[in-house]
Amino acid sequence: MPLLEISHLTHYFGGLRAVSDFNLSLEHGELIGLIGPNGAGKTTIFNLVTGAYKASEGSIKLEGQELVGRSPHEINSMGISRTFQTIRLWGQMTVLDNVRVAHYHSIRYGLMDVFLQLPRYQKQEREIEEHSRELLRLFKLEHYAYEPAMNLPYGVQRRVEILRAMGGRPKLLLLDEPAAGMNPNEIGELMDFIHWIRDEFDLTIWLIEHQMRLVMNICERIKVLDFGETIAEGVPEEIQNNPRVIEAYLGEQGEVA
Amino acid sequence: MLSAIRNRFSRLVAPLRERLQGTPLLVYQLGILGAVVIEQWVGKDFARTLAFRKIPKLFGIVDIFEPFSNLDFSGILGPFFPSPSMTVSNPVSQSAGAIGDLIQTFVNALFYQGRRDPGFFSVLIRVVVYDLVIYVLPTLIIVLLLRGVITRFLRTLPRWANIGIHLVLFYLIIVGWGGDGGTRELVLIFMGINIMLSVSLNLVNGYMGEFSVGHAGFMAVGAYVSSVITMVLFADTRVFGPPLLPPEWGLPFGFIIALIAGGIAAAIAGLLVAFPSFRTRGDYLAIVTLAVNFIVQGVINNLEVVGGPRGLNGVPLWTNLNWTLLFTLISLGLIYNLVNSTFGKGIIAVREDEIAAELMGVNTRRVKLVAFLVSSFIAGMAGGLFAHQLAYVNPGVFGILKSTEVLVMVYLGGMGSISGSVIAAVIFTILIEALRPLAVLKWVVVPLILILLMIYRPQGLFGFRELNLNLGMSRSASRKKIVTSEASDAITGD
Repeated sequence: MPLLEISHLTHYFGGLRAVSDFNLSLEHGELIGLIGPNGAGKTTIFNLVTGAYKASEGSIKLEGQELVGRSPHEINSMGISRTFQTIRLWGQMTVLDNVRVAHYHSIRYGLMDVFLQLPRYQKQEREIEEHSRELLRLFKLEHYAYEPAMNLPYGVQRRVEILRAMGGRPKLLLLDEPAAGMNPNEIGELMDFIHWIRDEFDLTIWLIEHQMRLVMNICERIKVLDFGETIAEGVPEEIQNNPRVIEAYLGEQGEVA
Repeated sequence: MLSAIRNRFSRLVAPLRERLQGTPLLVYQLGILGAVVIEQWVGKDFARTLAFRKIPKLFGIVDIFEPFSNLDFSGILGPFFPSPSMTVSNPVSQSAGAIGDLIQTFVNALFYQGRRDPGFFSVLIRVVVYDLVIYVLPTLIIVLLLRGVITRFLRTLPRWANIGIHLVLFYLIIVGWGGDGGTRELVLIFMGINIMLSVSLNLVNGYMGEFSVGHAGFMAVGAYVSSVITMVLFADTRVFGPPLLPPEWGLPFGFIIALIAGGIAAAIAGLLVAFPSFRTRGDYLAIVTLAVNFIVQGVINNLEVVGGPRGLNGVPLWTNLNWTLLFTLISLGLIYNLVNSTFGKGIIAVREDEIAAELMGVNTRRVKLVAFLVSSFIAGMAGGLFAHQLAYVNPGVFGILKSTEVLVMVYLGGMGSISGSVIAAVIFTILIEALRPLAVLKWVVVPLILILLMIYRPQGLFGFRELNLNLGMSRSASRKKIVTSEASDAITGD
């Protein structure tokens, strides 16, 4: 069974068809990319998968379970985590607390356990804190643990966002333009980093990106979207030479001259 | 000029400050306890020596403003709006005359207004002398003497003993200083109630980032429900007739149950805000909270069973210092435990970015529900204590003015800070008490403080950080160091 199976996904904003008949089957451990010009509907698809929008038509299944109609926190607890195009960390909270809150869905204690600090509460809090610190250590961010997220440099904030997404122990990680605003040097590091987290955490990664160098280098499979429709699909080499993709990005041949 | 004075002052106390660096809280507690004992012992005599009739009220803050109680502002605008029976020939000259009189009274109040009524400066100097001799000097001497011994002693204590000894000393100080059954006790009780109100409102306004402006409504629900329970069950009143249960059962169990029931009723009223909060937020939710305050007031006004607008008379006078202290500490404990749990951090995440919180797995509805319920529950218990202190409640008390008072405390103390709210409630209660002689002028001074605060320190005294108490625990006994956030500085460039 595929990890994620999207079939005939369609979404309207009022009368505007933002996504039309999108299909995807994602196997465990894959690293795939979703590209397309601005406004092609890429982020909309992420929002549909994570439950931020409710799909107009079609189905999204994670390990056979339907996701359409579920609330975002439920979908997160089922194993899908994401980052955002513009950083959406909880700025005034420390990095450690950002990661701690990402464990929210694993909380099994009740309110009384919190008020009375019962053993059940203490045990779970200890586990959450240990896992958070372990992640901070793996991401080499432990010296930022008590720093409010908003005070960190941009590149570090991007890494913290991925770190936070890992807090919920996801099976599938969605990265929305992880390289946005990075220089070529940083993009190189990011590529190694993405490979590393996939292997380290046994993840499936699906990313949206405009930086062709990154997409072509690390993605095993790429889907190209334009005006909500899938215009191409395949391994990087195929995509690079696909006339429809070139047309979508550069405009029709002959028109320019 | 102010900063020059501040500089000189800080240079003056610099050596002392250096000596006192890192002194554990317990040492100060012992010092203050010493001062309290000294006041019991020689306070009255010393006050007489300084020509006070009795011990200065609340460290003399009340006495300082007493000379201004004769100021009468009504003459300034009064002549322009005469009552029908009065004829005013020349309002301008009358008003000018009133202003002249006012200035005369003010100058007199500053310097001298007769043998029995000393002026402001005379009182100020004597109050400062009294406070220095009775409170400051004994405290400092004891602190400097015991510093070393106590610091070493504290390191040997386990955690529970450490916290226990702090609480015991705190209790002794409160009861020793304030257990007089008079003004001090009254002020301390209102202080406790205000702490409960401001900390509970801070959970919603500070930690969750919503703007609730109707907190007095929940207080009213708690006040009325607990009052009705104690009156029906344990008191012989004109309204409800003879008690249903033997009155001697009332304390302590009946009172505890009544207060908790009041809190639960207030929490149910809190649902009126919690459910709309799923759909709307910010300014719109603020209007909902305002509406809830008016709904509660309107309902009580029209409930003849509880006296309607005339109010409810004959509530048993059960609130005292111990009860207030107990419920205040419980409330603080509940909120502290909540906001430091991962669940409670979810409340803060909702403030920072609600959409991201929901997408990262936080059940934002549940988190909001809990925040509103806990907040209104504590406000309800505070209302119960309030009613059983005054023996009389009427719906007018729980209006928008009361809600505003709580808001002032929260914003004075700082958003998202428990210690800030506590300190602000303490300052505010004392301030209100001190400004009592100024009568209506109080409602000029308090808003003015709020305006100045918003201009010069918008984050409040302790915005988004906590006071770090030095409990003097050894490293192994203390939990991990709580690192306070510097975020508020980053915003204001402070």
